[in-house]
Amino acid sequence: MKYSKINLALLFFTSLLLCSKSFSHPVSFKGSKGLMGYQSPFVSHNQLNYSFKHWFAAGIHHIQRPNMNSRSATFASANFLLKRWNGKGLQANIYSVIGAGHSELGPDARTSGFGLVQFDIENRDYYFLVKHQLVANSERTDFSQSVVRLGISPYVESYDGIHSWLILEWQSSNFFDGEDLTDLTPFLRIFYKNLLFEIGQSFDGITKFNYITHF
Amino acid sequence: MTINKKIGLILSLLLFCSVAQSKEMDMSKKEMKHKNHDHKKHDHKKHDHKDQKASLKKTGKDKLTLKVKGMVCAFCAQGIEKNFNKQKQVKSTKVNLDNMEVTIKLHPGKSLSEKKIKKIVTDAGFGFDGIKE
Repeated sequence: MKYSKINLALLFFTSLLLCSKSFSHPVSFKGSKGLMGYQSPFVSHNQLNYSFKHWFAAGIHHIQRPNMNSRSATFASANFLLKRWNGKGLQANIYSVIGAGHSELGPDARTSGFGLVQFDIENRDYYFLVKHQLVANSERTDFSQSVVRLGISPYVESYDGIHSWLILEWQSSNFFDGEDLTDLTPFLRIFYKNLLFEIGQSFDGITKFNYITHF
Repeated sequence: MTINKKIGLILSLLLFCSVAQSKEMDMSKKEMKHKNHDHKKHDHKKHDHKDQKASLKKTGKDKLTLKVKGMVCAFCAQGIEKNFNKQKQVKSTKVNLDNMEVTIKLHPGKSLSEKKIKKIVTDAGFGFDGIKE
């Protein structure tokens, strides 16, 4: 089993060499503070949150279009773990985030809403996530993004070790001004204890970097 | 899908979550009410106190191995280690993802109730599957 996974990993890395968003932990364990971010040349999304319960957190988000300095949005949010399935060797989650704040992602500044729905499922070998998020007001949608991720762990590490995952992400981002972007990005995820980061380059050559930490 | 429909969908999910969580809290309130009432005043044929006794039982050991469900990721499991280490009774915590177990060592003379253990595991976001004998 391990040998075949190594083969898959090699194949994945090879495709990475041949070729070049957003994940999130909206809620973590009770009492934790989370800091996470998704960075790319076309959109940057950073979040700080505090989990009051294992199913509820409050967060602050900042979304920026790095190639357009004046285009950004800041929101306060309520993050919910709507449902979790804790199985023997498996966990699945449904998250929802709802927020409100100020958006300048469109042609003018507006009070806007932020919404997100996410489903993920994983065991120690495989991982799947699907997510949709948007920034909108009564007149328009300033930003929306859909994400699908598939991940595989090339090796299973013990709790105290350095963990790696290979993740393939499909994402489609749409902005009010029509600057849409759909791409496929392989990521390398590495985490150790409470620090996680991902780096990847889409097949269109866009470099992306993500991180999460909780403390 | 229009904006209003999207917002409506999100609000519906939010409402569903609130109802689900309030049902969970109602169950906890019922458990508390049951624990505090006078048991001599009614017939116990329809239910027993086995679960309540188990929840109040102090384990009396200085090393406990807990079975935990949903613990598949070392990054997320940091929370369970951290929450146990916050307890003054706990000397150390060791997480084993292979066996999905958490072993806690207690300070000499200290104990931790199964009910408290279950709460700590639940607050970390996992499912408590009992103490290994």
